Amino acid sequence: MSVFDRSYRRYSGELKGRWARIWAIATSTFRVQFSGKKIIFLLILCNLPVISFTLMITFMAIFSPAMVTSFILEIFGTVDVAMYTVINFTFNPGLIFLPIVFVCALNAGAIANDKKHNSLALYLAKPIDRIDYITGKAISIYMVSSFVTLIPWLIFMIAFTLLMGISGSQFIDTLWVYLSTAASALLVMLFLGSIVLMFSAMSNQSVLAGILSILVLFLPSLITGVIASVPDLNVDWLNYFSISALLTSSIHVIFGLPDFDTSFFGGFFSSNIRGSIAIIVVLGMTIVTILLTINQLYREEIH
Amino acid sequence: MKSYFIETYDLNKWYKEVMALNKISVKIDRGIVGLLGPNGAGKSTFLNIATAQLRQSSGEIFVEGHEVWNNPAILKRIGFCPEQEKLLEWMTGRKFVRELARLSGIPREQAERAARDAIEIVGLTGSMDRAIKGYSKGMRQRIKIAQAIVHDPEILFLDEPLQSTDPIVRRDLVKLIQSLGRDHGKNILISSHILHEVERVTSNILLIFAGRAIAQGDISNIRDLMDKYPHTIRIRTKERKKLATILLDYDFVQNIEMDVLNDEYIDIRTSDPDKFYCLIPEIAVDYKLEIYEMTSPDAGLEAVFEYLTRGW
Repeated sequence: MSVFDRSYRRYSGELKGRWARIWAIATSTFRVQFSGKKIIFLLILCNLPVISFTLMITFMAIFSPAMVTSFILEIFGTVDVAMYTVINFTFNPGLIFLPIVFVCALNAGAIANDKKHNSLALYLAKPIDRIDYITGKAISIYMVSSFVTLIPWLIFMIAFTLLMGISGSQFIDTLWVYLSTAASALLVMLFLGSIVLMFSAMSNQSVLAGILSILVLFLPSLITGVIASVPDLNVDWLNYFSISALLTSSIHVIFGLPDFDTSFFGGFFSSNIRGSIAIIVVLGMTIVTILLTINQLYREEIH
Repeated sequence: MKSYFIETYDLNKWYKEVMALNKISVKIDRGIVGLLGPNGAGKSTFLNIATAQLRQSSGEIFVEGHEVWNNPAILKRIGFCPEQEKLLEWMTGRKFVRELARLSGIPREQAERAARDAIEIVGLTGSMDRAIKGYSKGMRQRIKIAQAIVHDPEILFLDEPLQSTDPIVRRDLVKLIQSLGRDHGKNILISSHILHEVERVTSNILLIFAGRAIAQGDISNIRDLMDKYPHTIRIRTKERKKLATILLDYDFVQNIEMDVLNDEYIDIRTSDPDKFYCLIPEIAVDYKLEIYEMTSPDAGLEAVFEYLTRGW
């Protein structure tokens, strides 16, 4: 039998500052969003293009090491072309559904569930204001989003670099590819994450927030794709409404408007909208959605 | 200049058309203070504003002399036990307290130890690794108190902390709250709509009703305020008819009722309780009456509340 000490004991340690508390919100939410066995399945499904590419070059290196360099060069070309190809492939109109579903399905409950369970009261009774709360939740959502952007892309790049036997000086020469990849990932994470965050803040039903996010992020790409496929219809401007076109065009700019030969994948990545405008639209939408989220949370009444 | 635990000036809160708080201006001294009122009186709204979860529609509120809205520095010093039943249901009690400890600023490596200590204080150690969804209402109350005290705050706001607890847990929690206030110098505002619960913890109260502060101070001071109202006193004696006959001669005795269920009790309604309390010993001596017990049902907070809210 245990006899417990019921006398009051003071916590005598220090209390950390604002950023530690924001990080606590972020990590706590991340753990909740990322729990469950189905997540692994969803993660593999949504990263299928990158996983396929990575496995392809890895198996080639295992089973036919002598030919790996020529094989990789033939398919992807140099590391910059390879990375550019993989990123654009992820966000082509046919496959963009996968990362969108992942980001929306996992993150839709970030704020909606707190509202549904009235947990907001528990958070806000702590030394946390609404901005801290939103920042913590946003960081968590961006962290989750990195699992279909930054992390798989970097894994692919590292695998590519190692299998190609790139030397130190070559690596330094291609450092910009890493930075461009990180910048592209950051842009996508901010954009997709902020839209899901906004819908999560506006609803207290995570399913509804998820469905709305998916519709807003995917439907325009689908509709514009269908309309653009009509022959003799000159509607390039419609691509400004396509998330797929906006993201691939933005990445095109981030990679320095490359004129890569990606003939292996056909004319997949030809951009028909201006990349600089695409970046402005993407960043503008991100900022607007963040402001709407803040406004929504400040209007939220706790009864 | 004296600083108060809580000061409010014309504090108002509307929920669209509904006025939850109506021009509340109070200065609450340090110590343990009971916030009393029926359901819907505005207690939770008052506490939510005091803990910066809600912003007042107008007016001002200061806790320990500081504004609370957008002021994490003062919120760091506050522990809050909310009324809500639903918590982070999927978490175990230990994880729940640990996560909220981290939100209070306790570093990750110390949060586990602090959570265990707080859970032990409220007597939930044996159940701390069970999911909260399996907790009884009383256990939920205790885990909420644990998360409120985990970072050793100077100020505690407890919204209906004794609700749904069994008598033993209630006794323990009352002792804990008293100990936190008296031995550890914490300022505590404890809300309840069950008056005798608060009476066991403190005699210093703030009564609110329909969003208004209607009385504040020590229960005995409030009692004095009430003396202009008729007051019922219950006396136990074997000679109640004789006592009734004597008392009818005094003009401040308004009404006398014999208890039909118990032939030793008599209820006397008086307009001047002070005079009455002085008179009874004299009568007992002069008329050789044996009086075994004298109580006033009105001495409890129920009566105070009934009097002060009459006609609202």
